[in-house]
Amino acid sequence: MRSRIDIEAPFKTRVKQAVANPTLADTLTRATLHLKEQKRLSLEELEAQRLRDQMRQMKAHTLRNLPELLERFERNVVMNGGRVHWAEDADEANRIIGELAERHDVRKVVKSKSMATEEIHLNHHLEAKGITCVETDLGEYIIQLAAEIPSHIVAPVIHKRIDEISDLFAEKLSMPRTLDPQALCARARVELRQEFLSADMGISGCNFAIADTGTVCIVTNEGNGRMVSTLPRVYVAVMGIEKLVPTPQDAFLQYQSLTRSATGQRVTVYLSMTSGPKRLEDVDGPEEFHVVLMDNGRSRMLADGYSESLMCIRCGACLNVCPVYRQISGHGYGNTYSGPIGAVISPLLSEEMARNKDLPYASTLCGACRDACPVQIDLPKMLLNLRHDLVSGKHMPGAERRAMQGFAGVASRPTAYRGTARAARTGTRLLSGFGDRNLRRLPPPLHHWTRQRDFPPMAKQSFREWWAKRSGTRGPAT
Amino acid sequence: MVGQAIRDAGTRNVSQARQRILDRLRQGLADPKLPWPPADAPPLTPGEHMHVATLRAEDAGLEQRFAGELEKLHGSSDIADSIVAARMFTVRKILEWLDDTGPRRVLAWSELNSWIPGLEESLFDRNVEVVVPESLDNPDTRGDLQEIRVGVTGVEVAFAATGSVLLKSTPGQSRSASLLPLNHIALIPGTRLLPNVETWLEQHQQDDSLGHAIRNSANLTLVSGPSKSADIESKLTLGVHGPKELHAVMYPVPG
Repeated sequence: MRSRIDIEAPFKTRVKQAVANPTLADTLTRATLHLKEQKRLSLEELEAQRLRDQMRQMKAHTLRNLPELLERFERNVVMNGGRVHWAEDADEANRIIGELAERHDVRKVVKSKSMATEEIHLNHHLEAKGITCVETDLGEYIIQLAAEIPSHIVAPVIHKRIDEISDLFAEKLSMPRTLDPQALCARARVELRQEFLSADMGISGCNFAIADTGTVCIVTNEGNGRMVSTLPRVYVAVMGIEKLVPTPQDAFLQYQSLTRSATGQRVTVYLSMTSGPKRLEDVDGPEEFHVVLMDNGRSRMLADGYSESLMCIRCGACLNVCPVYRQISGHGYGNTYSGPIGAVISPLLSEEMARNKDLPYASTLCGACRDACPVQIDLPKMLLNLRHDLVSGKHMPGAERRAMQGFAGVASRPTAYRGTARAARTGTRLLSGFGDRNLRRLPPPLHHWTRQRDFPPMAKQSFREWWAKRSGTRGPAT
Repeated sequence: MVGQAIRDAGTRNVSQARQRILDRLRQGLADPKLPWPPADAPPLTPGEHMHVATLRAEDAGLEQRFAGELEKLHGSSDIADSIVAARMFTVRKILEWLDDTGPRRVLAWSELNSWIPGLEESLFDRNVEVVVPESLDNPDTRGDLQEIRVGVTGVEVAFAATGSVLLKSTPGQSRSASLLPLNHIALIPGTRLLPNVETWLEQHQQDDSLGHAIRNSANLTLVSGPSKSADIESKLTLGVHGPKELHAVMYPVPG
C-alpha cells in the first residue's frame, strides 16, 4: 500500500518513508486545509476568543480540582447504577476490560472510535483472548481492514485516497470497484449493522464526562457511538482521568468548542450522554455500564509540569495547521497521538521516552498550533521544555542519563577531558579501521546512540592540539 | 470459591489503583512551584457560560431558523399551522418513505397520539402498522425490527439555533426508533422548541432541576441531522449507521 509507513521503524526512517510518498503531502494538505477552513468559518460567527477564554478557565479549574471531581464522578456513576474501575496503566486497563469480557462470555466487541483504547492497544489484548474486536467508525473500519493505525485524531483515514479504499473493499469484501463514496459507505453500513446486532459488548472512549451527574458523553457523526452504547448487553467507556468536566453547562460549552475546532461543525450529528445502564422497563440500552478511569502517565505529567497538555480536548486543530504534520502524516509520529499535541504527550504518556525522544523535535516551533488550540495550550513552550528535560536527562533512559552525567563530569575537568578525548580519538579510529568512515555501530551501551544515526570517527588531531601547534601557546584558556 | 477470590483480588487492586492515582494527583497539585494549573482557578459559574450558537436579528422565528439549520445539515422539515396539518404532513412523509415493496410498518415511541392526536388512527387507516417494542433482548425481535424502514419519535426539546432535537430514553421511548431505521421523523410541538441549548440549561438551572434532567434517564441524545461521515476523502456520505434521512414536523400546541 502506497501510504504505508512502518510505525515501528525509527523516527527518521518513518519521516523518510512519509516524504518519499509522492501523494501523501498533497492528500494531507488538501484535507487539513479543508478542516482548517471549516473551523475558521464556524468560529467567525461568534466571539471565538471568549469561547477559548471560557474553555481555558473551565479546564484549569477542572485540573486544579481533579481529585475531588474524580471522586464526585465516581459517586454519581455508582448512584446511576454503573461501575467504575481505576487503572494505573495500560496493562491494568486491558486486564480490567479483559476480565469483564470473560465474565460476560463475550465473543464479539463492537467499538466506536476511541483514542484511549488505541493508546492501550486494547484490540490486540482482547484478540489474544480470542475475542473479535470490530471497529465501527467508517474510517476506523477501513483502517482495520487495511491493518493500519489511524493517522489523524478525528479523521483516521485522512491519508488514504478513494481508489485505495475501493481496492481494499474489493480485496476484503469482494465488492466491485467504485469511486462513489456513498456506495462504499452503504456497503459498510450493511456489514457493520450485523456486527452491532450480534455483539456482546460495546466499547467506546469518552469525549468528556460530567462529574456532577456521572454522565459519559460521546460525540459522533455516524451514529456508531449510539449503537455501541445502546445495543450490546454490556457497555464499557474507557477514559483518561483528565476527561472530566464539572457541570452540564461546562459539558455543552466543551461540546460546541470541540465540534467547531475539530471539523468546523456547529454541532455534530450525535451527542450521546449515558448516565448508567438501562432503567427498569426501558426498551433498549445496556444491562451493565462500566467506566474505566485510566491514568497511564497522566498524573505524572501533572507532577512533572506538563499538565497544560492535560487540557487537550482532542479536536485535532493543531494537526490541521502544522506544517510538519502535513509532510510526515500521523504515522510519521509513530504513536497513537500525532501532530504537535502528540509530540508532547506521546513521550510522556507511554514511558517510552527512548523510542519517542525525537518527537519533541518534530516541530518548527512556528506557533500555529498554539494559535489554533481551543484551550490555548502553549504547545511550542511544552515542546521546548521537553527538549530541555530530555537534554538535562530528566526523562532519559538510565544508561543514556548515566553516560551524559559521565560526560558532564569529564567535560568539567580539563585534564580528564583531554585524556578522555584522546582515548575516544584512538577508540573511534580503531573502530573505523583507521579510515574516515562513519561508525555504523558503537559498542554497548553506546549502541543505542548509533541505532538511528552514524557516529563520525574523531579527528586525528584535537582542536586543542591544532591550536597549540598553530599559535605556539598552550591552547585556549579553559 | 476461586472465582470469588479472583474477584476480591481484582477489587483490592482496583481500589489500590484508585488510591495511588488520587494520591499522585494530590501530591502533584500540592507543589507550589507547579507551572499549571494556577492555584486560584475559579469555575465558570452557572449563567456565566456564553451562548455559543445564538439567534440572529434576521431570524423570522424559531421554526424558520430550525428549518434552515436542519436543511444545512441535510435534513428536512415541515412547519404546520395546526394539529390537523401536522398530522397530514406526518402521514404524507411516512407514506412517501414506505415504498410499495417494503413492510408497511413504523418503529415508534408509545402513545403517538399524545404527540399528535389522531395520528395512530390516521396511520391505521392507511394500513400502516405502528410497532412499539417492549424490549430488544430477543435476537429474533432485533432481526425483525431491523427490517422496519421508518422511525417515529417525539422530542424532549429542540433547539432552533443548531437544528437539533434532544431525545430521552424512557420505558415508552426507545432509542432504537431514532437509530435503526433508514428514515426518522421527529415530532416537535411548538412548546418544546427553544432558541438554543443554553436556554434549556438555564431554565433547568433556575428551578434546580438540571441534574435531574440530565441523569434521570439512562440516555440523552442530541441529534442534529441525518447520520453522516466525511471519512472518505472529506466527501459527504449520508446514512452511515443511523438514519439517512431526518424529517422534523413543527406544530403549534392548542391552549
